[in-house]
Amino acid sequence: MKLASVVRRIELEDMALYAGGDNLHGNAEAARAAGLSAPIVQGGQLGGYLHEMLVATFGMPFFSTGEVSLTFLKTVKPGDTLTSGGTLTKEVPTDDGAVVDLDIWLTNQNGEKVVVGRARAQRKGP
Amino acid sequence: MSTDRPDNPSTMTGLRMLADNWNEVAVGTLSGSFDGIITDEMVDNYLLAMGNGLPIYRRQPDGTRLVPPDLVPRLAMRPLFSHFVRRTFGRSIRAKHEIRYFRPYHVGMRIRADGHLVEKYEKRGNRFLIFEAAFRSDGDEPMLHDRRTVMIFEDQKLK
Repeated sequence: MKLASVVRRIELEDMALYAGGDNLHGNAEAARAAGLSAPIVQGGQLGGYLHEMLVATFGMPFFSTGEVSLTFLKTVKPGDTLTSGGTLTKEVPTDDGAVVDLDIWLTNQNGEKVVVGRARAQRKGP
Repeated sequence: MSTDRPDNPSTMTGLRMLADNWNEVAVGTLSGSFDGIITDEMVDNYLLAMGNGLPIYRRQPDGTRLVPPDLVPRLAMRPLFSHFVRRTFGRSIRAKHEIRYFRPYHVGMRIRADGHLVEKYEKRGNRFLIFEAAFRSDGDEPMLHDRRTVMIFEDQKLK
């Protein structure tokens, strides 16, 4: 099955809109105060790009059968470009499609995996 | 939150306090609760921040509008977990996150959930906390289950 990959360049404005502009995820001053060289993307935002790929791939069934397990490996900063990916690991046929298991990941512009995980959802149709 | 070095006496006191909390806060402790209504504005802000233009999130002819599944735990995160962690242990960073979805949320629906500390452990000199929250509908149906692991980084540097 083909996954609907997501590619995004991360901007500080988007980070602030997602996580708020008063913390180390959306504010450079707050990040420096925490000992960071730059704001870091909140984990939920990273997971959001993988969810976008999964919703685009599975559609409505994902909302009632989806399972996602993510491990966060590296921090992501403004200016990084992320690409989502995944591969089929298991498919169990059901009456109206299949239950599908995937390995999923998010890589940065250097090809480094920043998030890895697994997903499962019901796929409708043949 | 202070990021002072440990040679600062006031920070040493703070670190001792956090260490005491680590021992005293019991597994099973209620970390927070959330009760709120999902609005169009919340969905619009999320989609704009994410650059997500999937047509599935447009309002449907029957007047309903789907909510991005991961938006719900994002809206509830601070009152359910983050405020408790910050107040009790200091800064944290997400290490793992598991979510299971049972039913879709639509704009206008109510989000209700309680968060609990379910495990704490130390590994390679770092301290980790695991929290869980069961989200339920007004009719008490399960909507989603959230389980997340955070690492305390009170005096660490992130690369």
